[in-house]
Amino acid sequence: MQTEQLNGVVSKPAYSPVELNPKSSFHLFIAEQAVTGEMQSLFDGCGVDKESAVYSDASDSRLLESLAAMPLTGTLYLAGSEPFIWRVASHARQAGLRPDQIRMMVPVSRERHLFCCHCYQITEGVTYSPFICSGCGLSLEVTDHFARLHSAYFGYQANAEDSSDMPEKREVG
Amino acid sequence: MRVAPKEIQSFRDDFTYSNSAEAIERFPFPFAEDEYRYSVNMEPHLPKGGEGSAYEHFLDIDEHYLSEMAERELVLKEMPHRCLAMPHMDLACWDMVERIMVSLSEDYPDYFSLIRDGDHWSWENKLLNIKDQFTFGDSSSLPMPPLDYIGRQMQGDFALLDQREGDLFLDAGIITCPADWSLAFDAGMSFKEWHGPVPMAHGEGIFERALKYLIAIPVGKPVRRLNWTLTVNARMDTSPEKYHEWGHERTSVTPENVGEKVYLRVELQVLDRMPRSNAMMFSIRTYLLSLEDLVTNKEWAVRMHRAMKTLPEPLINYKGLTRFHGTVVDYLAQFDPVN
Repeated sequence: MQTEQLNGVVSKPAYSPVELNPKSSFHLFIAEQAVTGEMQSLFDGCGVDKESAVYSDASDSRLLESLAAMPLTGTLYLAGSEPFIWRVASHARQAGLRPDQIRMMVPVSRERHLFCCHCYQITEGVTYSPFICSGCGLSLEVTDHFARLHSAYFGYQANAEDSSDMPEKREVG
Repeated sequence: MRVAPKEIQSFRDDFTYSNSAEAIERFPFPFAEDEYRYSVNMEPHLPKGGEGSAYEHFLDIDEHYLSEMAERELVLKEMPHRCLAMPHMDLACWDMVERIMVSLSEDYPDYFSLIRDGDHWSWENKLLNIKDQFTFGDSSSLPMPPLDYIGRQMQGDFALLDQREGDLFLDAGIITCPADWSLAFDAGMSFKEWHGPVPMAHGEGIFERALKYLIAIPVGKPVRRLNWTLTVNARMDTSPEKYHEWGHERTSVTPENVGEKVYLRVELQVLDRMPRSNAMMFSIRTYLLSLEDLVTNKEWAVRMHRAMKTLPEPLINYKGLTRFHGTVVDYLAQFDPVN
């Protein structure tokens, strides 16, 4: 499979510390489950129009409404798990936000969503590889190839070439 | 002499696929140097090699036409999602219908005909016994969505890339014979994202240069490049979707069967700007040639040996050759006088 590499997979998101956008007239802070310390200090340091909200579901209708109401000069800050922030970012893009209006904090957990290329099921809470697919039950090699549309990493059967040759269990992060 | 479509052969199960002597002769052999290396190896897609060459026409129809169309039917019947078009790609799909119908009817008038009367089009594909009248641009006037409709009549995979924000996005495609990539997973990705797993080239700036070149391509100036890998058995559908079914074939190569079992898989990739949508049509035309057919050309045999022998380890792994690469090199060595 197309997953062995020297320099890392460039589709794997890289995160850097988030700063307030000084040119923004409105700041919307969205967190999954709970506001993180990093987000709280950004929020506290923000003087102008601001709003914060916590959602457990990235597709919550109130969240989608607030994304649709974002002004052109607004900035969106996201905190939570990786699948959550990318799903909200995807909704934000659909609502017309530009990439430079969206700022993501380092994910709070290293748990991944894993896309099974054989049955297209997405398995949640993946922290090691190989990992059993919740759809078809195959042991999947967890790769670093990330699809923003699915907010998930690419997985394929780990021992398809030789059933007796199962890779050793390793943590992914 | 041109090769005419022959009877249906299979790319699965009993693998009856074979190349005639003429098909071997016109095979687009990809190695221009003894040592393999990465490059942005693009050139204008202009006719080359004269009558019967794989580069004679914009789209190449060869003796495997009926076999490949039958194989595509099998894949799409089981997995209709292997053809996908995001709603904003509708215009690009129609651009593609026009580009393909016009070029096929001009280049292969014995097989295809197109009569245009304003938006009222009549299309005939004599090879597949298809005859339809439709309204150009009106998807409800075709028996199936436009990309699906035309894709089932063309050899090779097709992707439509939306151009925006100085980038290309993989937003539509009909992909039934991929060299190990999944349209369902890669859909919507930017140019660099969908090349994410490719080793070595990112550090060398290959993709930045390629993207700059591609987004500047104007209408009417298509470009092409060749890509390659090795496939065990004449399997067209080496998709990740089916990897759990074909992966084990990579352990089936032996010194005795390597010549007939391992195929050089070449993709003739063409990028062509679409006039209405500004999308890029990316066609990936796949050719398969067994090593034992390949070595009937002495020059190719020598070059193939040297290219395989110097292939860097990361590429061997990335292309999935790890389990049989050594067997291939050993087999090819007998045709290289240097050894």
